[in-house]
Amino acid sequence: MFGLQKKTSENEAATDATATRNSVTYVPAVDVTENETGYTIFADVPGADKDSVDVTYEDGVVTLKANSVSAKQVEGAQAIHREFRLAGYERSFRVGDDVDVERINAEIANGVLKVSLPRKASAKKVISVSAK
Amino acid sequence: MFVKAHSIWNDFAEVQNEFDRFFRRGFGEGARGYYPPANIAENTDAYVIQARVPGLTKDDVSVGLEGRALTIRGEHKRDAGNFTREERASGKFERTITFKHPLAADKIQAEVKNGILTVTLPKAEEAKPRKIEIVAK
Repeated sequence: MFGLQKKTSENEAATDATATRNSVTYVPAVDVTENETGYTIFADVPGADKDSVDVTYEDGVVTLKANSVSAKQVEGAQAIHREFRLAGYERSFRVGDDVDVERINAEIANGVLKVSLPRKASAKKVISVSAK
Repeated sequence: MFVKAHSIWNDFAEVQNEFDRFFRRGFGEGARGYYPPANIAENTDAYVIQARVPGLTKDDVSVGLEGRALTIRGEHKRDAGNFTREERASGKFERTITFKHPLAADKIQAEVKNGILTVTLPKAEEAKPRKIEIVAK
C-alpha cells in the first residue's frame, strides 16, 4: 500500500518536473523612478493581463509575478521563426523602511506592470525641550 | 519529398532575413534590425507575426508592407522622472522582415494587445498551394 502511494507521488513529481521544464520564467526588465512622494517600478510583462499578475509584499520584499496568457493561435499554423517566448515573469525588490506598505498599489496597461510604493507621511517630529 | 523542398525555401527566407538584419543594423537613429523580438508562424493561407512591444499602444506602432517586406516601426516613450534603474527599452525602432511568398497587401491585419503586436499577413492568391485538375481525354 505504501509502495503504491510512493509510486503515485513519484509520478506526480515527474509530471511537475516536466511542467517546470517546459515553462520559462523570465526576470522582467524594470525601470524604477523615485521622487518625494515615493517610488515607482515599471516592469515589462508582455502578454500578461490583470488576471495573470500577482503583486505581494512580505517581510520587506515586494514580489511581482506575471504570466503571459497564451497569445492567439492560428489554426494549422506552424512556427517558422522564434525569438521570444510567452512565459512567466518574476522579480523581487527589497523595500526600505520609508515605504508605506499599506498603500502599495499596482496597475497593468499594455503589458507593463506599474507598482507604486508611496513613502510614509513624514515621520519628522519636533520634540520640545523643556528647561529646568 | 515535397515537404523537404518546402523547408529549403524556408531556409532561403531565413538567409534573406539575416541579410536584412545585417545591413540595417546601426544605421540612422534608433534601433534597427533585431528589435523588437518577433515570432513568425505560417500556415497555407497566411503568416502570423507576433512582436514583443511592452508599453506600446496602437498609436505608437506602425506596420507597412512594401512588396514582400513587412516593416514594423515604433517608439518606446518614457515619462520624465528621476530614474534609479533603467533597464527597459526606449526610443525608436524599425524592423523589416522579408517573406518568400507574394503577400496580399490589402488583407493585412494588425493589433496590439497587452504589449504584443500581432500582424496577420495573408499570402497572395497565386502563392497558395492549389490542386491541379488532371483532365483525362
